Amino acid sequence: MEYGIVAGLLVVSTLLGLVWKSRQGRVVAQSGSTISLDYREAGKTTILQFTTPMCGPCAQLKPRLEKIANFRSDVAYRDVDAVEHLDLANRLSIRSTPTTLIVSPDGEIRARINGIAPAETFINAIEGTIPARSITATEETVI
Amino acid sequence: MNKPTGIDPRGPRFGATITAVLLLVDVFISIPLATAPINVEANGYVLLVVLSGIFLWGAVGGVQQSPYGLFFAKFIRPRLKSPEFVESPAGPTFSQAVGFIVTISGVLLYLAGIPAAVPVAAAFAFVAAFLNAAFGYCLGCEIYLLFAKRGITFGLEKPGTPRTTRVGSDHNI
Repeated sequence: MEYGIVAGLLVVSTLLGLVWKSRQGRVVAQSGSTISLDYREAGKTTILQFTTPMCGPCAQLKPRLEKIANFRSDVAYRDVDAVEHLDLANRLSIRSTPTTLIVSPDGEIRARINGIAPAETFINAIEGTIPARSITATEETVI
Repeated sequence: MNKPTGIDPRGPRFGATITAVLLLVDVFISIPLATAPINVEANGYVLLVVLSGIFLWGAVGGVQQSPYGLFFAKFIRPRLKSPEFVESPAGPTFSQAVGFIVTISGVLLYLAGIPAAVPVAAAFAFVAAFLNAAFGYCLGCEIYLLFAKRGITFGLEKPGTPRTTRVGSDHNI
């Protein structure tokens, strides 16, 4: 019986890991929500990254996003500590970190990316070429 | 919690790998305890007590001061290339604290007369350690905000870790 339980535990844990991994870097298209100038740069597409003090991968993602902003004059990068800005995190339903929002030059939130992803994922989200698995949210929310 | 400074992210994953193996062994040897009378000398129970102590060590002293962290720093890190990035030790230390809470719950419930608590607690702790070791799952990333939203921030509201580069004003939200 011990062998069966241990094997089952390994299988369940592996499946959980695969499911979690598959959700990392998923781009969710959004529309109808806007965000104030405090959290973006006017006239530029803003990559807005939510972090927490407990988030190791946030430090991994940050230079990747900064690099995109450095290479493109039409893109800015900002990061926000979700703990220091809990109200904002609650309003935007930020549940884990890193969570990254792509905000258009006029302040509309265009996409949300959960977790770590390659730079191409963020660039595609900025360009609006969002993968087919994305979900479109249509609620009208002004942040 | 200790002062946040950058650590090699491979260190905590090394520790999680050893922890996952030991917890899986503990699950295996403690399954028979679930249907046996309470015995504080049983191997499965003793191993869970030891693992609980190691989690506490890491939670109080910081993950880099845990036995696995010290071993990694002394014997493994010098043989590796520099990491691509460093991370705050706060997240892995938080995971140690969660591991302690889970395993000490198993220990205490066993002493309270619930023999199945040992393999169950070891199994829960194993899942978290395995996900970290095998997939890079970050427990702090997933659940810390849930605590923070309830006002529990473990004294890390303004810890000086990778911070906000531009602060918004709450009245403008």
